[in-house]
Amino acid sequence: MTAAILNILAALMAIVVLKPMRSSYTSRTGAIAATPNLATR
Amino acid sequence: MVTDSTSQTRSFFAQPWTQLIVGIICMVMIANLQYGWTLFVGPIGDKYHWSKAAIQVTFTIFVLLETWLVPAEGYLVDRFGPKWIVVIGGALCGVAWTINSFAESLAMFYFAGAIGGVGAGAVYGTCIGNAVRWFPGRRGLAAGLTAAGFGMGSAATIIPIAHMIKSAGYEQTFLTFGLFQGIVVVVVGSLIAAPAVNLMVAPPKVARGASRYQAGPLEMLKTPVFWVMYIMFIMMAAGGLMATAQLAPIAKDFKIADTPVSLIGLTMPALTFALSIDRILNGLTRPFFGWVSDQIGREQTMFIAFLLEGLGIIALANLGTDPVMFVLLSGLVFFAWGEIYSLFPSTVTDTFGATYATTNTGLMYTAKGTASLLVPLTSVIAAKGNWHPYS
Repeated sequence: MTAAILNILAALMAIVVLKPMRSSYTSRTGAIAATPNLATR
Repeated sequence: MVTDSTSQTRSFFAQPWTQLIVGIICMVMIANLQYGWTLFVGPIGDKYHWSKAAIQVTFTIFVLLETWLVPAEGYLVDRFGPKWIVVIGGALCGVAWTINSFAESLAMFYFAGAIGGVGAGAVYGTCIGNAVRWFPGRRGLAAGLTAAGFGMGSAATIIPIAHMIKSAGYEQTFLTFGLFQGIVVVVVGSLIAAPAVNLMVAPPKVARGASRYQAGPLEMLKTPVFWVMYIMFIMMAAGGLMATAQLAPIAKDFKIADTPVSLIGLTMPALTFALSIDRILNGLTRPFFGWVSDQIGREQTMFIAFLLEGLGIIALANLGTDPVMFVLLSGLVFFAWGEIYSLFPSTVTDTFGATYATTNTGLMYTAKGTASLLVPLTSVIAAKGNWHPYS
């Protein structure tokens, strides 16, 4: 039953917590594009 | 080793779908290190008379290194490119099973487990990271197909491995499959390439809710949104691992483990049936829900899949006394669980950008290792007969 509770809590967290947090984060940072320092091979 | 992307993008193999296939082949080739191991435990124990627990320490070492070193390996990928990390990882996987073929002490098996864990983690992390970078608009599907290669990759080789262990011994099987898998990853992995920089920092199309911001690993670790995702990953991974670990005890408690069940033209004992469809559905769900999340959004898909998983577990505990329902509901439970391996990498990359995707998704992947440490708790709960919702 612990497993079921964990899963249902995670489902609620996705909508109630993660979605607004991620939306806020991406809208705050979305316009910025840093110059990367990386290889491509 | 920072290089210009132009030469790579001109390469015949530097195309999204080609790179996806390359990644899937590599994942299929390393799948046996995790999913095929169980076939060797019995024969090793028979030969050396070590306890199963002592032999299984090898697997624990493998999983911990395969999981926890991915961020470090991801950093090397993001810094130097994916090719050599995959090639070296593949070689290490081959070396690990070659060592297993002549190991005569537990210490040697543990050492091989460590080598294999480092190698498999390097290949896994690189292939997932590369997939989400090449498909900015379809990260869920790309990560899902790649992760499915790992989840289902051993399905085709489990039977040949089992036959070869019986006919030629586990030593020869380790050597043959180890060399084969390692060589394939080295050869195919040498074709892997990162996309051009502009595809990562300014993709023509991104998923709903995605950001164009490129956050480094340390910057990501400072954001609360990452830790919310990390906790959710632990909750889902722990829940799924708990359900998997308790499937056999539940079947035995319901006294239906050996009851024959006929479905889709197949007849098998209920527990065997359930375990057989586990691997298939657990693999299929990764690209399926990944694709769904590309269409309707990551969080919405998480809500549907995670809720389905929770309700499936409750239904299994209540209705699983019927053998047919046990098989069907366990299938639902596995189907609604495996998608975490596509939803979280794609969500992390949508949120923190593709530039450091391999490191960032690798950091998220360590949640699997954290979750695995929680699973023994369920053994305590199950030992008290308290897994049932109303007991």
